[in-house]
Amino acid sequence: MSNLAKIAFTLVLATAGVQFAVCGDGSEKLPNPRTDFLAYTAHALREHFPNVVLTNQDNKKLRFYDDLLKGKIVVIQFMFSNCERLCPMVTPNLVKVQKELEKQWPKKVHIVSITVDPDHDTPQVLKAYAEKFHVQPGWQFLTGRRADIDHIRRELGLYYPEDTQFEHMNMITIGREPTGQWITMRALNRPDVIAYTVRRLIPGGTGPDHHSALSRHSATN
Amino acid sequence: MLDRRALIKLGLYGGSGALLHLTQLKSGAWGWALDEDDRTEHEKEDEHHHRHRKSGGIGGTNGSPPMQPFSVGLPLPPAATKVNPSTLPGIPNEYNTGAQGFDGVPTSYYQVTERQAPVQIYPAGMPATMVWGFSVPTITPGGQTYLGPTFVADIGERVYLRINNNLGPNITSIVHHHGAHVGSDWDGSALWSQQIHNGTFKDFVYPNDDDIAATHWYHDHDIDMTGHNVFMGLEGFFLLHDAPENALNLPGNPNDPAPAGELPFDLPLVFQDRTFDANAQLVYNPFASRGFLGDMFLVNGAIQPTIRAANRKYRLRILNGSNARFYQFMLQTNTGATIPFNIIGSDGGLYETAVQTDSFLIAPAERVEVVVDFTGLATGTQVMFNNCMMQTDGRKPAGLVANCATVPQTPGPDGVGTICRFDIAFSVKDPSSFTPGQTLRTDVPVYLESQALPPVPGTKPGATRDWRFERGQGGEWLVTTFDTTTNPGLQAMPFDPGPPPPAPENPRIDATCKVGTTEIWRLINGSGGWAHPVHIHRNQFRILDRVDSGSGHSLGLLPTQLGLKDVFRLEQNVTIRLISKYTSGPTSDKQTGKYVMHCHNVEHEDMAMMIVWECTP
Repeated sequence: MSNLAKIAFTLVLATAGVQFAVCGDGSEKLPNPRTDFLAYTAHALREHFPNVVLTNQDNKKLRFYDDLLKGKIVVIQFMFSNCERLCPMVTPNLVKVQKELEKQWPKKVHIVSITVDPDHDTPQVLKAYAEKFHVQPGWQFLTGRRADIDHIRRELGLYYPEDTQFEHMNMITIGREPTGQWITMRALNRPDVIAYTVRRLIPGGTGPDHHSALSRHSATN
Repeated sequence: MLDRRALIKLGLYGGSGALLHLTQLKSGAWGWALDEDDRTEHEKEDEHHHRHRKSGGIGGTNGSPPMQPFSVGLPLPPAATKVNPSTLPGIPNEYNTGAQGFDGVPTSYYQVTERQAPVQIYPAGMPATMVWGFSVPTITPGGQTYLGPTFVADIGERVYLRINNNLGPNITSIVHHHGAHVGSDWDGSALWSQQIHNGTFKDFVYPNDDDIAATHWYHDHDIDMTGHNVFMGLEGFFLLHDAPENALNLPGNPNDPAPAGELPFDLPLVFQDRTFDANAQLVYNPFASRGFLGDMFLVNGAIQPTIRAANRKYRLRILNGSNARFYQFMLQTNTGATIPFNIIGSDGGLYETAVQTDSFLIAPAERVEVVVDFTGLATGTQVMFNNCMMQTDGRKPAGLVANCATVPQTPGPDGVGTICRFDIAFSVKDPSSFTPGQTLRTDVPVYLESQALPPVPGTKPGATRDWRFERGQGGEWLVTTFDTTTNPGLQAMPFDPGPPPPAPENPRIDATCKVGTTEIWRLINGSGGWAHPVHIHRNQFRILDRVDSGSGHSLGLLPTQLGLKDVFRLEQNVTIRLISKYTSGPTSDKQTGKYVMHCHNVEHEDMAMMIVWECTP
């Protein structure tokens, strides 16, 4: 162990019973993992969300973490308007998901579609794309600096430059930012399954819980 | 105060745009504080790349806090405690009949609760680690652990288990008994109907009547969330014993008890890699789509423990409980000797014949049972349990180090190093028996190729049911079936779990197998980029052969693949042929219904590298 490491290790040991809730400048509270582990996890996961500036289809500048994720339940999709293979099926699939969710859980879920072709997909192009698919409010289409977008893709585990066989990975990222619960799934999964997966993260979203597997089974079966 | 860069390097860096450091709070206590991150963009980018180089861009955050190696003992989860069935509200009358069951079958009753709890993994002085586990915290003489209690049953002893989910709002769990012949409703496949919602319970009936003495385990198997849930600690051992095993008088059998205060001579050991943050909290990366790799190495939930041992024979039940990491193990003494492993069993139980090897590879979810002989070692001798397999990318291991005898004392992020250490500390009489290469049992099920039915109507006898593990054009996982009856176009198809609740369970079924028949399955990996430890539920299989997917050239079976198997290490460009019979035991139901096959790199599993197959009467 280097000397620095030893010093740091000693310091860590010296902080027996670390206080989680208070911070030096009082501006930032680290949640206590003992009382709210999910919030603590959410805090730790922030390093995966670069707070880069993106521009939506209405030319509004939005920060990826502060404006699009923080405090929200989200579905994140990567797309590009000229995509001819899978994206033309994915967006209509997510339109169905949005319709189903808005019926039961209006305004609860935010869909974030980020282009992987920012040179072509200007806000105007994205606006036309959104209109073509009749998306409802609560769905942002975003463009930005290519390096920033690639950074987001890399952090979400959906971009490996050496994987050259795909235009982009056709996966969606579903998450509830304040609890740090994240699921990655196929963008072309059944829309009812995608909607149910989002509902798993909404308080009460999957209906009342009940005990299971009692009367259904008999020993002779 | 420490240099900022040193803090970053040590993993005390606490989040984007801010830096965590130690500071004296207004109250006078020490605590963590967040500073604005004033590094330049260039420095951040450097740091980002540094991190991603370290973990291959797939797991972990910064380095976990360091820990003095071999400074803690080995936790050994206690055996689960039996309960009276009358203490389980709502238990069906037919089961509420006590130890002889309603049908005369000996039945043991248990209850565990899945919950969050603090467990002291780092030394006192560091915060306790919040874990998710079965009836945690598990307190043992060797220290605290997140592992659940160990279930121990004899073949023919039914286990009735109630599992309560008290993990918290919006947290579900599915519990899989890994290795056993179990009815499909109690198997714990990643199916909607198997989810236990928070605040509810589910009762499981494990017949234990169609297996042999074996090292099974139980763990979470929730849909899309398994990687996170097992990382947090939802796992434990499930050990089965039988008369042929007892007759062998292996180390640690009931007639070979350990002296008071010492570890038993039959020792279950689960190897896992984890990542901790500066507050000793577990940090899972839900975006580690290639497979999560940790940078701290734990045995039974303790970081690099010391195992106090005698100079005599031991039976070790080795489980790779890691999410995505492969290990190659070797035992090396500090006096320069290699202690060979006598492999006596694999996933599904004991072998016919023991085989000796100096080292072996173990993939996630595989079990390898060994006898090691420390006889003749002087007290004070240290026996290093070394890992020689490098892996910095969740996709696959990178290969062996040149010399496994001289690995680092503490593994780096590539995993190479001493994972734990046996310290030979005492001598004791060894009444157990074991001879290298000895016959162990002659009743291990054998499945004959000549009895294998064509799995698909219209194909010739001896035909195989083929499964290809590959990626689709959007990078998604596909398991392609070549069964023309369920998949007429022979298309690559992704996992389809069917409509969600409250709709009746109706996943796409990719294979239908009849109870009582024998089939040959072929698992094909045509890719050079990935390795997949494939797990099949319900049955134990025998591996027939292992060949290069391109040339067909035989690669031979490994010493860990000679018995009953439920995990198949499908390395890059490897094809494995398996055989099994869809049996069921005398006291249980026929075990019809839906089961799954999936990759046990649990991140691949969560990203749908899975199919559903059905067993029909």
